[in-house]
Amino acid sequence: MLLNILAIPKDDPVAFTFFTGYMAMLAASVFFFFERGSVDKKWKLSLLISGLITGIAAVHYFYMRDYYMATGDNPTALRYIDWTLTVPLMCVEFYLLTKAAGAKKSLLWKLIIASAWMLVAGYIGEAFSDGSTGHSVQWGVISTIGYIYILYTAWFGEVAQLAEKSDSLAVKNGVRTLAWFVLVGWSIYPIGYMCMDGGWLNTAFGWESSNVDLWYNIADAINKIGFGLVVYSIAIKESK
Amino acid sequence: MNVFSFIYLIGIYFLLTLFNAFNAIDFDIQLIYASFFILVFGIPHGAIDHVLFFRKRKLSQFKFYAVYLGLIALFLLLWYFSSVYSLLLFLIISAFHFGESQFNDLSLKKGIKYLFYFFWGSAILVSLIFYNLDELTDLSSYFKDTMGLTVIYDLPVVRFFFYVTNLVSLTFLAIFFYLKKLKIDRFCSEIFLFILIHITFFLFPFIIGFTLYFVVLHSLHVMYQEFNFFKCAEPKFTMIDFLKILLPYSLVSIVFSGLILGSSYLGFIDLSMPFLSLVIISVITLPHAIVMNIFYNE
Repeated sequence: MLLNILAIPKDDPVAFTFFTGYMAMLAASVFFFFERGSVDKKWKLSLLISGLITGIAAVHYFYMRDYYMATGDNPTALRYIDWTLTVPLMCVEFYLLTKAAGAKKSLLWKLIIASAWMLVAGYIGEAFSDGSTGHSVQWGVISTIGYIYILYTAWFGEVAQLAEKSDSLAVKNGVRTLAWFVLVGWSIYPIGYMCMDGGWLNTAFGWESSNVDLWYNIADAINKIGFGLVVYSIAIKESK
Repeated sequence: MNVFSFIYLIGIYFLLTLFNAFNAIDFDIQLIYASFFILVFGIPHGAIDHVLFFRKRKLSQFKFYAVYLGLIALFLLLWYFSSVYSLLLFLIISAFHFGESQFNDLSLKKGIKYLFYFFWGSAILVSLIFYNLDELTDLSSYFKDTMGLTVIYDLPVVRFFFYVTNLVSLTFLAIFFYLKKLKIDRFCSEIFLFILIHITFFLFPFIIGFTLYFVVLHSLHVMYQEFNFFKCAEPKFTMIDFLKILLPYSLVSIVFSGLILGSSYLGFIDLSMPFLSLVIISVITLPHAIVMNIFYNE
């Protein structure tokens, strides 16, 4: 194991970010779990979820790091396993934040289903690609429907409306910040999808999926840790 | 992010899917669909200038049409003498108009406001030209009457204005945010939209990039502002009422434009369709921008 660690190439930013991503996620989990003690009872579940998101990601990044170091390939399956668990949990956060303003369980299920739809379709499109454009386009479109639904809900739909109704400025601002994460932070994923072999960004601009691993790692860290920090910030403000 | 930015984003995803599926879209197909969307959404947003004007000011119909048509005639004359200066004037007026429609809600001193409108709109137009310079040069070289316009597509000059207009626009936005003229949410939305527009103009061909911006971020947005204006005056005013106002004047404009372009296609007018389209759009833009300036400020 020590020999493997010493063998990290100095000029391989992807390997570098797998290592830092794994440690950053682990550190964030420890932080969120410990900080549960600093917030009111009603916010402990939200921080637990934040800790679980980064914790699950830390474990997966540990394995992704090894897979990448051993093969040099994109750890596609591991990424999607990670996203399939962590993205629905992020959607759960939206529900928890707007629960006080009247969010119903149906909102939770709609978001979870939309996120699972987005990820399963994306995985089929990416992992089972036969190199044909038709396959990736078809599943890309199906996946994007889920993404657009979540985006719409966070910006204009139920989540946005509930946040607006909330008495708490921290919740209003926090939900809006999380909506920005979904808009900007999550957009890296469809971009990465289109960098697959045969994808338009690949054929028209030469962008390759091997280049995207670096951005996935950075985006994942920002999206997951940043997401959790926003929730933490709301919890702390509301607990004063 | 407002609803128009959201629709713009959906449009981008849709176009990315199309390009992912087909890799390239034939120019003729681009033109057909662009023309359709511009006709359906672009023309209506300007077709009720007279309705809006008479709600804002008292002036005889004769005087209004005399000035409106007089400006069109003057601009046509300018096109006759110099197509290059006319195109430049069209770009300047459009830049101001685009900026005003985007930021008319900001409460700023008039001079600063107008300067900002101009730079923001210019950043949009110059960026569109900068990212598609080769394509525009090829298109303009294709027809005899548009060949003279290629002098505008000088790379060093376009690049210079690209950097200046974008830098100044971003500086203005940062200053407005610092002076609390823009809240953080609006500031972030405008920066995000700015980046999104750049990405669109970079990724997609000229016609597609322009149509997406013009239809979604400009025309639909302006029509929404116009609808709200009527709604404020009459709370029972509905979308159906708005469509009833838009429809007849839009149809007249579309038919009239169609007749002129058809005359070019059949050879009755010795001007190419792209050149004629440019002339028609530009000569209408001058009085339209003036009416909209009155609409926004009074």
